[in-house]
Amino acid sequence: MKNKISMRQAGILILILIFSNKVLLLPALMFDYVKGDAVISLILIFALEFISVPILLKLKQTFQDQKLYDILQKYLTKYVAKVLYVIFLIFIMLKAILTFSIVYVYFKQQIYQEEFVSIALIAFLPIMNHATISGLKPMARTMELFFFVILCGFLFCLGIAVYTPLSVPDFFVASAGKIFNSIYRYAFAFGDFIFLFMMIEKIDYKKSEEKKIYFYAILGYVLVILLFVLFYAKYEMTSFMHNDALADLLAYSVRFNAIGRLDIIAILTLLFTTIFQMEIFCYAFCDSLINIFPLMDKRYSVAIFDVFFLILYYVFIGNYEIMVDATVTYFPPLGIFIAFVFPILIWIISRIERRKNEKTT
Amino acid sequence: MKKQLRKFAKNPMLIIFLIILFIFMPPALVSPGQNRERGVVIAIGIDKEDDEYEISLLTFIPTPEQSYKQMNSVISGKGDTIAKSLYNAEIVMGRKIGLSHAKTTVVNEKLLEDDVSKHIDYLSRFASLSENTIFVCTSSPAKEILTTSSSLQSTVGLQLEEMIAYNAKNLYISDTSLEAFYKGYYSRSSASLIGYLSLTDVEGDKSGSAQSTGQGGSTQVDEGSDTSGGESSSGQGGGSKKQITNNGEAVLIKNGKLVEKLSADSLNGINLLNRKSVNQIITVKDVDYNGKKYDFSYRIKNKKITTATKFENGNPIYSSYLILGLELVEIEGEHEKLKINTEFSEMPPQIKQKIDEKIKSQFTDAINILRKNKADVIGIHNKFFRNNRGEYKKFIKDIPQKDDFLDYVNFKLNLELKSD
Repeated sequence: MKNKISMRQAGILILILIFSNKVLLLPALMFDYVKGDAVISLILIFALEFISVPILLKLKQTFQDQKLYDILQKYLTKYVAKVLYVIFLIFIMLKAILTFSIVYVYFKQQIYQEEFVSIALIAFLPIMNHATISGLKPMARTMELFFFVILCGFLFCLGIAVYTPLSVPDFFVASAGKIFNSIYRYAFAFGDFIFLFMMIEKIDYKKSEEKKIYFYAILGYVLVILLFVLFYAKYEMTSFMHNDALADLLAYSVRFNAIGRLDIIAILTLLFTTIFQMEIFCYAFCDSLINIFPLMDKRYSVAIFDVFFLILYYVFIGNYEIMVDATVTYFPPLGIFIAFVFPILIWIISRIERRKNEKTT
Repeated sequence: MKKQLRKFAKNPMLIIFLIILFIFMPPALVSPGQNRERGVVIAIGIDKEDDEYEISLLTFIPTPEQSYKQMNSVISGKGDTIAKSLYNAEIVMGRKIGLSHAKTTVVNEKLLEDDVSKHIDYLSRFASLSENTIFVCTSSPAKEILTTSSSLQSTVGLQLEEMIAYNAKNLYISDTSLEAFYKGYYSRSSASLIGYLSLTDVEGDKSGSAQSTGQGGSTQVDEGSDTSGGESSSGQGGGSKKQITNNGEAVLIKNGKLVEKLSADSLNGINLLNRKSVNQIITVKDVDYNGKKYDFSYRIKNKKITTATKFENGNPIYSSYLILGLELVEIEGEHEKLKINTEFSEMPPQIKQKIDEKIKSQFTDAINILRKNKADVIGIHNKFFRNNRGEYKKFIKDIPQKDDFLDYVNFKLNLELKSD
C-alpha cells in the first residue's frame, strides 16, 4: 500500500497526460493538414489508444505487483527489455522537450515577450526534481488536490468559447487517405498510456475501481475533442494561425476585451497542467534509467535528466520550428510504436501468461 | 534552534529557493520599473506614401505625475518596411513597444491597393498585435485619425473602438477585427468586410466639445436621399480643424485589396438575410392613404428567416423566406387623425407593396455589388457546400472561375411583412 497510488489517482494522472501536447499547438497543426477532419482523425487515434486501458488493467490483473521491466525481461530477454526502456527514455525526453518548448513559446507571447528560458527552467526544474525524488504517491496526491483547479480552468475556457460566434466546422473535406495519414503523422503527440504501463506495479489495483480509470480516460478524451470542435467552430479557416488553442478560446472576442486579462485563467490552467506533466516525464525518465542501470541512485538519475534536458533543450531552443517539424517527420514511428504497437505486445504477453496460469491450475 | 536550522538546511527546496532569491533579488531591486522601459500602445495606424511606411502609435505612458490628458500621445516612425518603421517609432518613444494592448488598428486605404495582409503580417505574427484588435480602414492619413481620436478620448471619453463597435453590431453584423478580416481572407471567396472612418474639416472653434450631427452609425433607408452620417468631433482645444466622421460605411475587401466602399444602405441589403440585422428604419414616401399622401417610417423589429439551397436543372437556387416584424415609428404628413398602433396595427396593402419593393430592390443592389466584386461575404458558397456538397463541387469544377459562382446563383426572396 505504501508508495502506491489509488486507481483514482492513476486516472487523474492519465487525464493530465492526455492533455499533454494536445491543447495548444496540435489543433492548429492538424487543421493545417486535414482541416476540420482533424476531429475525425483525433477520434480515430483516441479509439485506437483507448484499447490500452483494458490491456493495462489485464496486465495488472495478470502480473499483480510485478514491474513492467521484470515482465519484459521474463518474456523478451533482458537485452530486449533494456532496448525497450532505451526507446521509452528517448520518447519521454523528446516529449518533455516538446511539451516544455510549446508552453514556453506560449508564455513568452503572453507574458514576457522576451527570452526568459533561464527563469522558466528555474521555475520548472526544481519542482520536477523534487517531485521525482519525493516519489509517485506525493506527486499523484498533489495532482489530485489540483485536479479540480485544472478541470475548472479547462471547462471555463471551453465555456467562454460557447458565448462567442461559432459555426459548425466542415467535416469530410480531406480524403480518407489523408485522414489516416494524419494518424501516423501526429502519433508522437499521443501514446500517453506508456507512463501508466511503466508505473504498473505502483497502482493499488482494485477490480471494483476499474471504472475510475475508464472514467478519467474518457473524460480526458471528451475534453480534448470538445476543445478541438470548439476551436475549429470559433476560428474556422484561420484555425491554422492560432498556436495556443486552449488560450485562444478566450481570445478573439471583442466583447471580452473589456474584461481585462481573462487569459489569466488559461495561463494558470496551462501552468498547473504543464508542471504536472513535466513531473511525470521526469519521474518516468528516472524510472527508465534506473531500470537500465539498476545500480544508479535516484538522485543521479534526476541529475542526468536535468543535464540531458538542458543540453537537448538548448540545441532545440533556437529551432522551435525544427522541433515541431521533427515530431511530424522523424518521430511518428516512435509515436506509433509507443501508442499502438507496444500495448499490443503487452496484450500478447498478458495472454500468454494467463494461458500459462490456466494450464497450471 | 540548532536542530531546526539543521533541518531547514537539509531541505533542498529551501536551499534552491534561497539560491533563486540570491540570484534574482538584487538585480530586480536595482532595475528600473517596467513603465520606464515599455510604452503601452492602445491604437496603431499604418500609412504608406510612395514606398515608405509610417507607423503611428497612440501610446499610453503610465507616469504618475502627469494628468490624464497628457498621458496619451501619438508617436510615429517611418521606414521602408513595417518592421523598420516600428523600430524607428520605438526609438522616438524611447521605450520598447508592446502591441498586445492595441485595441484599434487603422490602415490607410492606400495600403489596400495591394494585398493588405502582406503589410500587417509582421505586426500580427511577430509584434504580438492581438487578433481581436478593431481593424478599420480610412481615406485620411491613419496618423491624423489617431491624433483626432486622442483628443476625442481626452475631451469626451469616447474611444475609437467604441465608435466602430456600434457599426459592427448593427450594420456589419460581424466583428470588424483583424481576426474577422483573416477569416474572410482565408474563406472560400477570400472576401472580408471591415469598418471605414474618415476625417472631415470643421469650420470654426469646437474646442472642448463633441459634436453629433446625425445618427451615429444608424441607418435610414430613404428613397432618393443619402444616409445621414454621424459625426463626433475631436474637440481639440484652440480651434479644432478635424473631426472623425462615422457614416456607418465599410469597405469590401477581396484578396486583401479594397474593391468597394459600402454605404450603410448597401450593408443593410447585404445583411438582409441575417437575423441579427435589425433596427433599420425603412421609410416609404408619398403613400396614398384616404386620399392624402403620407411618409411612413418603419423600424425592423425582428426577423424570421428560412433559407434553402438546391440545384434545379443543374442551376444553383438560393431561396429565402423572410418574415419581417415592422414597427411604425413615424408618420409625416397631415396625420392629426392617424394614430400609431390603432389604425395602423394592420399594415395597408399599398404600404406593404412599397416596402416589399424597396427591400427587394435593396437586396438586389447588394447582391449585384457582391457579384460584381466576386466577394461572397454572406457565405453563399458555404451554404451550398454544406447543403449540396456533391452538386456544388461538380458545379464549381464546371465553371471557368470558382469566384464566378455567385453569378450563377438564382436568388428567390419571399417576404412576409407583419406589423409588430
